[in-house]
Amino acid sequence: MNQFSSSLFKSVHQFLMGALLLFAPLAVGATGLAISVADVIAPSFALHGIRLVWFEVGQMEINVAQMRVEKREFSKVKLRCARLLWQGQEVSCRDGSLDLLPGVHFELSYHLAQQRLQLTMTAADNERWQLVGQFKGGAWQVAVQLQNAQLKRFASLLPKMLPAVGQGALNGTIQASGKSSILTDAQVDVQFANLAFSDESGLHAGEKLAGAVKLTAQQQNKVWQWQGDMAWQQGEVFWQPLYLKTGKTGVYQFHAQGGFDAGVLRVADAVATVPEVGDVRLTAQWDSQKKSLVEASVQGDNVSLDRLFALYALPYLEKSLLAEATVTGHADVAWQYRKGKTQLVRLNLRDGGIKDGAKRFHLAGIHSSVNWLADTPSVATLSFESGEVMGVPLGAVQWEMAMLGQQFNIAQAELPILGGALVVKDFELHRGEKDWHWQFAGAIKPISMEKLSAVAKLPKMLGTLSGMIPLVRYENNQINVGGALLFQVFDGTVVVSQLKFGDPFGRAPRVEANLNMRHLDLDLLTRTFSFGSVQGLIDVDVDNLIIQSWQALQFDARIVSSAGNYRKRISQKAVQNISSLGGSGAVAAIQRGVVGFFDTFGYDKIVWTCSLQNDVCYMGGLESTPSGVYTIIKGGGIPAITVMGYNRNVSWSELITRVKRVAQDNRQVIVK
Amino acid sequence: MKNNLKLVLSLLALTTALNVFAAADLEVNTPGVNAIKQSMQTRHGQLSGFYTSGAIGLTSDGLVAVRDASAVPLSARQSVNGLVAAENQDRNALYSEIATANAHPEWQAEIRSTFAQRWIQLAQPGWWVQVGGAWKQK
Repeated sequence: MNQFSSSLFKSVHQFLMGALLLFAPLAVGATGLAISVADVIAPSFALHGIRLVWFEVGQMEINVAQMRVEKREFSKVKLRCARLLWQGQEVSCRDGSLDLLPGVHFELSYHLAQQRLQLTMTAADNERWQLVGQFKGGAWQVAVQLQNAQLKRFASLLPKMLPAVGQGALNGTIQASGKSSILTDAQVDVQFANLAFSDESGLHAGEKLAGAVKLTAQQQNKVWQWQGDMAWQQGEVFWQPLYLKTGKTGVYQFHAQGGFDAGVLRVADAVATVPEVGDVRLTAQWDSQKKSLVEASVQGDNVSLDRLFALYALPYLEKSLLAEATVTGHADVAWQYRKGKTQLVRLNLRDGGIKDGAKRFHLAGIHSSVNWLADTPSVATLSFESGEVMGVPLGAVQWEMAMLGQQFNIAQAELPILGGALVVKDFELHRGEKDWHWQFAGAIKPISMEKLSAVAKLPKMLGTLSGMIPLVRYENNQINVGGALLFQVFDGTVVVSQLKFGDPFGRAPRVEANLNMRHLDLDLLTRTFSFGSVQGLIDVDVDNLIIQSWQALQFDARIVSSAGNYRKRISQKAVQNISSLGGSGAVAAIQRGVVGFFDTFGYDKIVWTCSLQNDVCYMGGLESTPSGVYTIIKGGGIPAITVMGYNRNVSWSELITRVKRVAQDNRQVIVK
Repeated sequence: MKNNLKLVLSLLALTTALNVFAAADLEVNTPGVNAIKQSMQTRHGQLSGFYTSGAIGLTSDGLVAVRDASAVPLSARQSVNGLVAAENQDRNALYSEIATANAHPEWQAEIRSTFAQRWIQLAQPGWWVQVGGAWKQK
C-alpha cells in the first residue's frame, strides 16, 4: 500500500459522485443511454475515454478506452454491472464482471455519506477477495481479506522487471491506513501456497513455494520504521546460479527490522535461519534511487560449512579446481562492505576438511584464523594436519601470511612431502589489472625417490630428489620458472631450464623446457626400469621440449655416454631390448653370433639422437655410413659389442609402446 | 584506372589470404586437440538430450547457449549452465589449439567460423541453431 491506493480511493470517490450525479436524472426510463465522462487522472493511474452505458433493465457498463496503473497500460477495459442499485445513500453494483479478470464476479457498494467502499470478488475454488475502505475527515483505512486469492489475477500489474507470477494463492489480511494521499501504517499477514514464478529466460524461477509473510510498517515525518518475518516452508527456487530447496532440510526463516528514509532502505538486526547451516546476521543499506548498496554486513558464528559451501559457494566455482570439492567443519564467518568495496573478511575455521570428488587432493584438520581488513595490515594463520595432492601425501603444516589489501605474502613455508619438504620462500600473491598473479622461490629438501616412485606408480627408484627452485611466476594464465631447476637423481644432476606451463589449469596444458642431465648412473637407471643392466654414466640433453596434455609433442634429444674413465658394460638382455625397440631389422648387433655366449659385453661409447616432430622420431647415432646406417653403441673391450641402427624414422607412439612393454612387462625379445 | 588497379590488388590480397586459410588443416592431430575432442565427446552424451528438448542450441559463433531454460527442471538448470560453460571452454580451446597447431594463431577467428557452420550443418533435425542472430529449429 502506498500513495497509489490512497489516490485511487480518492479518485474512485470523485468518479462515483460525478457519475451518480450525471445518471440521477437519466436513470428512470432511459434505454441504452450512453454518456462520455471526463478522464480520471491520478499520479499512479489514469482512465481515458470513459464511456458509461445504461441499459433498461438496470444494467450498466463502463468502457474505458485506455487505463494506466503505475507504468502498465491496458486498453479497451470493460466493467459490467448486471444490477446497478441505488438505495438511499448507497450505490451498489451486483453481479459485476471485469473483462480483465475473467471468471471473477464482484459486488461493489459505496455509501456516499459514510464514504465507505466495499468490494468483494469471488471465483471458483472458494476464492475470495474482500476489501473494505473507509474515508473520514481526510483519514482512510483499507482492509483486504484474502481467501485462496489467486495471484495470477494481478500478475499483469506487477512491474515487468520482476519475474512473472504464473500461479499461487494467498490467505490472510492486508491493512493500510493514512491521511489524504499519505500512507502512514501498513500491516501484512499472509500465507502463500503453490506459488510459481519465472522470468523469460528461466534463470530466475520458483515452483510450488509455500510460506508466510508478516510485515508491519509505520511512517512519521516521511520516515518509515518496519519489521517483518518471513518463513519459506516448501518449494524450490533457482536464482542463477543458486538452487535452493526446502522440505526435509528444514524451513528458511528471516526476521528483520529497519527503516526507509530519503530513498534509503535500511535493514537492521536481520537474522536469516538457513537449514543445515545455522543463523546468519545481516545489516544493509540500499539506495533505491541510485540502485546501489551503501553498506552491508554478514556474520555467522559456528556455521556448518558442508551445506554452506555446497549450496552457496560451489555454484560460483564451477570452472575452478574446487568444482568437485566437498567441505566439512565449522567456521565463524564475517563480511563487511562500505564505500563501494569490501572492508573486512573473517574466516575462523575449526577442524575443517576439503576433499576433491576426482580424488586429486584432500586436506584434513584445517584450522584458520583470517581477519582481513581492506586498509590495515594483518596476519592470517593457516594449518592442516594431513593431506594429499595427486596421490602424494602431505605432512602437517602451519603457515603465516601477511595481508594488506590485495597483497598477500608468505615469507617462508614448508610443506612436508615424502620424507622431505617443499620449501617456499617469498611467496607473493597480488591482484593485477585483470587477474591474480603469484610468484615464489624455494627449494626441495631431499625427497625419497623410493616413496615418490611408489606413489607415482613407477618402478621402484632409489636415492633422493632435491633441488633449488629459483623463481616461479604465474601471470596471464602461464607459469614461468626463471633460472634453472636443479635436481639430483640417479646419482647425477638434472637441470631444467626455460620451463614454462601454458594454460596450466586448462583442458590442454602445455609444458616447454630444456633438460640437461649429467652423469646419470646407468646401472641405477636400467635396474629401475628392468631394462637389463648397463653400467656406465650417461648425459642426456632434451632441448626444445614441448609436452601437451602430458604427451611429448616435440623435442631434440641426445643421449651420450659421459666423458671420463669408468666401467662400461652392457648385458645381453639390455642389447636385446635396445634391438627390439626399433622393430624388426631396425637395429642389429654386430657379432650377434657371440651374443649368446656372454652375459655382458664391453662398449666404448653410446650415442643416440631423436628429433621428434609430428609423432615421428628422426633418429641418429655416433657415426653413419653412406647408406644411412648409424652406430648406437660402439664396442670396446673384450668381449665387445656394437649395435647399429638401420631405420632413421620411427613412430614415436609405437616407440613409447615398445619401451613400456619392455620396461613394464620385462618381456624378452629375441634378436633375429 | 587507379581504382581498378586498387580493386585488382585488393581481390588478389583477399584471394591470397583465403588460399592461405584454405591450407589450414582442420583435422590436425595433436595431444591437445585429442584431449579436447575426448572431453567434448564424453560430454556430448550429457548434452544431447538438452539439444533435443530445445533447452540449448548451437550459436552462430561456434559455441552453445542455453536457449530455453524452462525446458529443464529447476534442480537441473545450474548443471546445464555448467555443461554449457565447460563445452564453450573446450570449444574455444579447440579453435585456439587448431590454429596454433597450424602454426597460425591468427587464423583462430576463421577456424571458429568454419566450425560454426560445420556444427550447424551437422545438427540433427529438431535441434535449435542460431541463424542471423535468431533461433531456428532444424
